[in-house]
Amino acid sequence: MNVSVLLWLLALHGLSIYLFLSGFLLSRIALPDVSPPLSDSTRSLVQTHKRAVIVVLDALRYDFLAPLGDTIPSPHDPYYHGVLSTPARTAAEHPDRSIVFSAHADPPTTTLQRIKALTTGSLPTFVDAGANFGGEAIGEDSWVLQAEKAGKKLGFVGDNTWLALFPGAFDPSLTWGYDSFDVEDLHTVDNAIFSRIPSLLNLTSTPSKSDPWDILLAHGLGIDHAGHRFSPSHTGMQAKLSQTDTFLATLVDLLDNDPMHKDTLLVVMGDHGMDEHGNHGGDAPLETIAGTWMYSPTPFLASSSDRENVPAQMHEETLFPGALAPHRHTQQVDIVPSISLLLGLPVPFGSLGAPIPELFALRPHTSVGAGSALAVASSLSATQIHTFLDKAGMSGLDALDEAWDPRVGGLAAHLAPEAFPRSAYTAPLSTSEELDVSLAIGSRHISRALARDAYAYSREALRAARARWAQFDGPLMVVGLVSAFLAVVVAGALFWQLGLDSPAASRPGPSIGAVPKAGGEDAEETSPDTPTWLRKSVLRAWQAMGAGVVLGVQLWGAFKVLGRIDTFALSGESPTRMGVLHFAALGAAWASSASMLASCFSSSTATGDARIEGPKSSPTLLQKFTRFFSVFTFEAAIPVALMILHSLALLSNSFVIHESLLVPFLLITAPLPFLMRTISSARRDLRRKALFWAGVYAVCVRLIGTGRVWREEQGVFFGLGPHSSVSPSDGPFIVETLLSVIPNWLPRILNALAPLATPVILSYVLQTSRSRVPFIVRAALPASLALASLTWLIEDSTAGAGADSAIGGVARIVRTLCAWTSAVLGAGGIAAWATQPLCISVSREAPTDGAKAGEKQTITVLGFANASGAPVLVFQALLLAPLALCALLPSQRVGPLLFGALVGWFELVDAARDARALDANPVGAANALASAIPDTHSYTSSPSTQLQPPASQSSTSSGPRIALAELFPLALLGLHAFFGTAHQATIASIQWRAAFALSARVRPGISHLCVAINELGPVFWATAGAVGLAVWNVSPRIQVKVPRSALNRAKSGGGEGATREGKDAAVEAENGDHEESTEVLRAALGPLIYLSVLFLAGAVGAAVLRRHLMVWKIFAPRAVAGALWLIAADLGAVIGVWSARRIGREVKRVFG
Amino acid sequence: MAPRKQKPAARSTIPGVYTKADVDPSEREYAPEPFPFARYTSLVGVHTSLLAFSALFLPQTTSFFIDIPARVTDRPAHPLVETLAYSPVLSLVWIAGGVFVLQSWWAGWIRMWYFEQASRGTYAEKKIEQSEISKAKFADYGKASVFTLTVSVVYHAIVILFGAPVLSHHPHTYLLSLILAFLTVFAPAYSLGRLTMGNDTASWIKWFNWTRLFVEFSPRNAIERAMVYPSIGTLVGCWFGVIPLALDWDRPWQAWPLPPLFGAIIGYILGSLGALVTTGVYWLAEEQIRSEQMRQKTK
Ligand SMILES: [Zn+2]
Ligand SMILES: [Zn+2]
Repeated sequence: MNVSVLLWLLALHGLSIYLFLSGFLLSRIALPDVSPPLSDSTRSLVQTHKRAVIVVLDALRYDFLAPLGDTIPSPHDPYYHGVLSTPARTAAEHPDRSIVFSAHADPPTTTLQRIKALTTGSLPTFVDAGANFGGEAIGEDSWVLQAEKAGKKLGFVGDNTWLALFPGAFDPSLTWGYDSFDVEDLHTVDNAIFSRIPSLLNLTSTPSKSDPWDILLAHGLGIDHAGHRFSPSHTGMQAKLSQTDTFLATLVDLLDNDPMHKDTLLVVMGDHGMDEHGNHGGDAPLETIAGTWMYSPTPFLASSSDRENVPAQMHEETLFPGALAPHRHTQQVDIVPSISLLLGLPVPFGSLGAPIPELFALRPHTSVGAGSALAVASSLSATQIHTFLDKAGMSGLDALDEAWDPRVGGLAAHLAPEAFPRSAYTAPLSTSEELDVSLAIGSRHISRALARDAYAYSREALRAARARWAQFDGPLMVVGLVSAFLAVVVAGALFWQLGLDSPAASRPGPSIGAVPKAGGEDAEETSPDTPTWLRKSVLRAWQAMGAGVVLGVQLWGAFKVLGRIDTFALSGESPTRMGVLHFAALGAAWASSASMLASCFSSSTATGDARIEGPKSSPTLLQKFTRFFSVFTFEAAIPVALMILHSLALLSNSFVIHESLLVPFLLITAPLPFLMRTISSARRDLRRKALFWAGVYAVCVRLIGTGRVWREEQGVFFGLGPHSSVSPSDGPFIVETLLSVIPNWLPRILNALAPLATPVILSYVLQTSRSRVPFIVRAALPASLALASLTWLIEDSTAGAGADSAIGGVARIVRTLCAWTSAVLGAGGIAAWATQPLCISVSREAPTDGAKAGEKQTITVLGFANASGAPVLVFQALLLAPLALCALLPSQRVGPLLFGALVGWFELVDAARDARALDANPVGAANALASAIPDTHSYTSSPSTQLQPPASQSSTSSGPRIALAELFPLALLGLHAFFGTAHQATIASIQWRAAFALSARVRPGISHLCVAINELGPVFWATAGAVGLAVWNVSPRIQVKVPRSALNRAKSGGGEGATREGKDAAVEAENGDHEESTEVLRAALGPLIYLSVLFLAGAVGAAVLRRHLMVWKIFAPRAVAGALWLIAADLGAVIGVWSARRIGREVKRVFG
Repeated sequence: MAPRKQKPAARSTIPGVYTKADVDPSEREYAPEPFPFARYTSLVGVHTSLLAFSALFLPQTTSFFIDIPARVTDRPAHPLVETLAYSPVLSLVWIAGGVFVLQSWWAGWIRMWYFEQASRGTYAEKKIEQSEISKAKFADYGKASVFTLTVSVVYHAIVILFGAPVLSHHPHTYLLSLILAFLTVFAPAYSLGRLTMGNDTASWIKWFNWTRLFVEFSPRNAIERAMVYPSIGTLVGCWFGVIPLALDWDRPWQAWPLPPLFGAIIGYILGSLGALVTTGVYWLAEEQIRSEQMRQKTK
């Protein structure tokens, strides 16, 4: 039943995550398809240039290169208006060779997203679902890949993001990449571009090198960095722009004067704009309006006399903010089909733009009639969009179907039958239409109509695609956040209610002989380990979830009929795209949360839970509230304060970046109340114990921190301030420093040996309670751990050898063998544990008194005092084996450190509990302690199982309820281990190498599981360990006073056969189990509460700051990580509760 | 927080000021003077101002010896801050020196008041006790210093556990720990006696006193408050002082360990003022009661 509660909570979390992320993440299928090349005849119709120089100037806003005049705001700003004057000057002088316009950049206006749009012509996404396994490389079709495929030679200078996006596309001898991160550096990248591009242009005139390159790409960062640093209105920007202008003038000179370059196209464009402070990332008009300039030494543009070739609808204009007159405006995605077709390349498969008409309207050098090239280009592009949308599952939208003109497809299919097989997407054409299409190449009238229709369709498709992919969905996000909030409240309410409700909170003293409620069938149904109200309310919550689905669907239907869904929108944003699935999820989440909350707050104790008769059985609301507030002691306030601080930190980009430092800081603070509790205790042994284990805990936590890697944004900062006089060092620097002193195999060996410390720690800890680790576990655990780390040692030391070399091949085989053996041994260990989890050993002594032999004997149970706690620890140690198998070599040491920290925490909490018990009841607790210290129990028994429980029993096990203060650090510990295993909440830090732990190539399922364990294992592990706090050093309650048979009879409800005594015993046994099991559930809930609050905070941060400059770099990945951690923790809690249940059953079998 | 110890009802119900009623009736005539509140107030004012001064202006001494180059930056800071952040270690050395002198002076007062209010007996007995105490002054001072140095090493380890770098910045970290130790434990060690690990009664009593003050936070009178509040304030301030370290403001004063250090000093000053205000409130209440009693007597 406990597991069922947690599974229900998992479902609730899943629903809220689904709702939030489908509103927040820009999700889009990235298709791997590639357009086939153009046929020669088609190419001759559209291609104008052989070569291209494409210069991306980061954050080049339209007004930076626009001509001075009414199209930009006046009065002009002397720092950036008219400074970069070459484009405007050439456009005025040669309107047939030079054109300036603005391009709309789709938000997020961040460089990475823009580069993707500028090359693939698609809309931005957060994660390109379906992208290949690992790496940032663009998996979609783009003109860069098309050029590479067409055998063109590509050169590159500038921001090295491009090199990561297109690995292998650029000719290594023509490539100079630079880091893009250092905003303070205005010049390095630009200077490289300014010097290298002209010299590369000059290469073509060298006779020996006739074709040194076909496409030159440059990406300069100076303008962007000047904007970030100074804001645009600053002398620094002026200097940068005039420097850039000189460069552009040089390019124009080179192109004009070298006859070799008459076929070279020059494109200069910004990837986005910048706001008045020089920042970008959002969707403000100034950020989305990028400037573009195209220049050719030979005429290729529609001059005013050719204007009639361009249908009026294709001429879009817009008003720059603050300007008086509109200017020529396009979409940034339009540049992709334009560049592709001008260079004779096919339109990339996922492109959503329309060719810019001016570029295709004039064809003096081709035999084809004017205007037909435009029709050809537009048709090819529009048909490409049609094909893509079909494949991406977006066809069938009414508006799109209306806009689609089959003749457009007909023309495209006529020109490129291999790319657009006619039957696949167009309605069959009549003969006259066929004729029209073939005439289109010659007829101005038809070609104008075709171009117009193709353009209209492209724009409609772009609109539809934006509505589907590139908009945050405010209502969905809000709904998701509300669901996440409800999940937090529900988990908190469950924790609180179970704490109030458990019998130990009002443990019956002498009045043990409570009788079960009269309704016998009710008691019969009751699973012995759960309070009835919980069992019922979980059932009800599941039912409510089902009912909620129905309600949600009905609600959706109602809104649909009323046509109201489109009206749901946050102010200024596009309407929601909530569908029936979203409504169903919403209904399920809210209805079942409400049901569970109602169960928690209604008089739960009255629902047949009559374990204790008396006034206490149903506390009044007032009593409940006083109890609720009595929880807020200093000890309880600290962890809650830490949780609140941690949550608030997620609203600041600085703290999200430095979360890997924040988490251990909170972790080291967490033991403070426990230490204070024990230090003020009168018992010296308790103080020593607490100090020792707190030290173990703190040192382990600190050492886990040495495995961190730094995020890109942490830069030279490392949490020590940017101006420290000494260069700070930690993490990787420690390794570097050590490596300079000691041979570099030593840390590897140490890391590889580290996992073996886990069994050592395990046996050391269990020795104090004289618990005995079962033999199979004792053998399987070290072997499994050793083989796991051996796997990674081999991987690490043969990383240089390719898999095809002899060494690499052998190493791979050995490694796979080791890994599988380790996995099998680990699984075997867990199976062995499941069959025999307990760590006790029983010895019987024959009675010394010979007279009554056979009547009485002494039974000594070693490991009794920690009978339930020790197996939890063994289980946790066993769970470390799969973690080690999926962790890279440097992370191997984190396993034992994590284990040490967990053990330290258990023991510290235990000491504090003892100290608290001493404070509350000095005499009784002291006795209990004294008897608990030997941790063995001897008692005499008669054959009729008249066991005498030790006198101290009840006082030891009826300690205070488990507190959040004890549980929250485990959630933090999981996060800390996540960071300590060289992870960060970024996509870039995913350790894809773990995918190959068990196999040489990616195997769907196994490989994904390995990466998931590598990423989320620590959080899972720490949450699973939380149940240990419910049973640690809590010895089983021996309550049986009657033979088992009588007990069984009483339980099976055979009323007449059972004696009164038997009934009592059954009730008592139920109570004992019930208490433990409730506590186990509460222990499992603790870390979940922390992590669900954290998920909520991360999601709120991402939603509120969705227009933040860093949203895609920082907040979005953090929100996703928060969701993944929560799911991992939910699963960990399930496993933990399962293990505790297994132990509980076994304890009952042995002692019950 | 642990429950405060209940006082017998017969005594003053206000746990702040030492009153005549608290003294054994047989020696009522020789009860100590009421706490010198006025002098305490002025001393706290002087002490906290001097502390703030030494934190901000002592490090400026660096500029007398070293010509501090102007930083090339588009975000210039105040020259005071520029000098402070130029070399955190030098700044820390200056501050540590200032704190050392100030705490020695302050601890002298605390110790005097502590023994004054603790001493019992006849006038002659008290005189003898006082002379003994002042004789032990230097020995105690030495012991307290050694204890403070020991604690600074422990603090150093704790600061590293909290996340300070393991392999570098030890001068920074240690000076921070030293200043923390002087702010938190020097005055108590000088008055209460340092903690010892012995098994004898004296050690036991000291342990009890220290834990009562610094773990259970239950100071019983003005002097204890003047010791405990600033110490707690220092540690809490230092803890919160870490927060600005992570902000990406790119300011020179964000260098390790300046923010936690200034957090600690601000915490100390606030704690000191908090103790003053608390004692003041109790003192006023006590005065009120006393005047009531006087009025009733005259009636
Ligand atoms: Zn950019
Ligand atoms: Zn930028």
